[in-house]
Amino acid sequence: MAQEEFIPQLLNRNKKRNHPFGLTRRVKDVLAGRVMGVLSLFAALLVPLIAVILFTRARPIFSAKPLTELLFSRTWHPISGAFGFYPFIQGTLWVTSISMILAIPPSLLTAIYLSEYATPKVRAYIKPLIDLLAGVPSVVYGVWGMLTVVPFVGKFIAPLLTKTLGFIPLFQTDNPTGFSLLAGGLVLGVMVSPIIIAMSTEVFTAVPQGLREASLALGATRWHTVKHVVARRALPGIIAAVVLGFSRAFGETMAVLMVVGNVPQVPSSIFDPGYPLTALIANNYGEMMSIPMYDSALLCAAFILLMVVLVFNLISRLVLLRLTRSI
Amino acid sequence: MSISQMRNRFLLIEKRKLTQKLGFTGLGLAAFITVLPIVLVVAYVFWKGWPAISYTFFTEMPQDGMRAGGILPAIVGTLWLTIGTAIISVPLGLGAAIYLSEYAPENRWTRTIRIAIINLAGIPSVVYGLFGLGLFVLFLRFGTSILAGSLTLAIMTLPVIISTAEEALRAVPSSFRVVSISLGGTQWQTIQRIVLPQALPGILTGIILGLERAAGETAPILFTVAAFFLPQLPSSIFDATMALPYHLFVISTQVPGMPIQIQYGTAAVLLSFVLSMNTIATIIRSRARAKRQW
Repeated sequence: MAQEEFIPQLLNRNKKRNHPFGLTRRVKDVLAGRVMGVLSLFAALLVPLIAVILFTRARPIFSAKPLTELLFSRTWHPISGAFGFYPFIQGTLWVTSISMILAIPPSLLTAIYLSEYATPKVRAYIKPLIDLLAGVPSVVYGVWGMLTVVPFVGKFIAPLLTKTLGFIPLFQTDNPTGFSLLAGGLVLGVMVSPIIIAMSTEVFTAVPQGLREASLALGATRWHTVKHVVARRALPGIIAAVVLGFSRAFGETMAVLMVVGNVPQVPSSIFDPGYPLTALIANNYGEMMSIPMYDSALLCAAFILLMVVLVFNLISRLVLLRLTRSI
Repeated sequence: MSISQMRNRFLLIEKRKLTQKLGFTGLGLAAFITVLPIVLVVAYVFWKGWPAISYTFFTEMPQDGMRAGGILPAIVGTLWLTIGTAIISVPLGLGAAIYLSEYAPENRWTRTIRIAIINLAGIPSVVYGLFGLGLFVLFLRFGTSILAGSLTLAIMTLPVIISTAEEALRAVPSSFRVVSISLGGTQWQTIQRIVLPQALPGILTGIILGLERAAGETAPILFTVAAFFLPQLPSSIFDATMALPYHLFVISTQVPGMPIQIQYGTAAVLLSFVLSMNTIATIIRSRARAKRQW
């Protein structure tokens, strides 16, 4: 019998002994439990509270416009009452996808290196460093992106890729500034990699040593062991890490806003400027509030962001549950 | 085994060794290429920002439309906000963590609560900003103030604090609890005198990491507290204030003709503020791990 199974019995025994001095401490005990239960309930209620507040303030626009028009109309012209979020949704999707494509493979390889191959000494130095980098504020990445990544994309990557791969529409450009979806994706990719690395290293390290030993004892090389045993076992955790990185990239505001160009158009190339939802909110809130429904349009944007993140998290949770059961 | 079989086998092993070697080097390289640019970002910011940093940079008000002078009000504002966030989020987060790890029964309710808190962590920061604006600034009429900003930031840091504190509490071996309770202690006494002290380093680390994120965030304070420029320091919790991350955002996007040096200087100050918090957390964690007897 495990030790913790004794705890309820012992607590029960203690309760039955009515000690004359024990009243205050028993009251304290009950109170403490209640108060903390309420606190955690409060924390849990925050998510619905946020959703409700955003929704009530976005309601005017939901009742004035059909949802399909909001989501799929391409015209964004608040003064004449046209609120089509399509260009902004596209902007968010493009920037997030670019950043994920750039960040996931190198981050996972780095995590494998750190957990499987690196000597303990290397690991002892690199792990705190990665944690440190995960804490760099997003606005700092934004400033760095504006002053170095944007010119680099504009002057170097864009001409190079257009010259070599220009026959693919994805790489064509007539935007010489460098404020582009690619710049946003690059900055975001650099920003979320430490998060993905830190979490997936932990996941790889948590794979039981016995599994590795069994595989090695059967004559597999370490590389084979990593590929067929460790990676398989770690898959659910890796998915969780990627989802975390995705939510960060998807909801990131400041760093993206500063490098992505902020032009409300449906992009067709990675060198086009874009305008993600988050940037729309941050840039426009507080200005032009006299325009009818502008305020609730921006809250509608926030509501869309919230819903996408919540739904994505729930789906990933279900997938994880499935995967952990099947292993 | 014939000679050709042996030869084939030998070749196979050689091939696998080669893949292994390729795998090793490839992975090492990948790790290097991934980590290097991120380290370079930080190094570059410090290198470029260093010339701007002087004693007066910390102690003077901004001058000439923020193109000269110091960044004192922004630093003070960020300190206020960080302290305010801590006062609100630490008791809340700690209480919830204690409940979840010590009291909560393993049932559907607890799972729902836990999932809600995990989901809180994924909400975009700008959404927190609009929520804070709607609830604290407008509905509760706190105005754009340090109070509203701290509350918003506190809600954002709550999931970080709860999950790390819960993990730290769970790591305390249950035999500690069993001993205390079998000596007649109530559950609260056990938590207060045995479990909490043991979990303290882990909890502290979580708190510092949460506050670090709060100190560096811009989007949640955008609509709830941050001011473009104020000629005086805040004097009460109902005042708006300047803050380092927002100030950095403003001077790098909205002020034309801003000297690059000051932008990098401000970035370097913000970075060192945040990174020193991170370093303190790392030190607490590694010292506690070395001292731990279980």
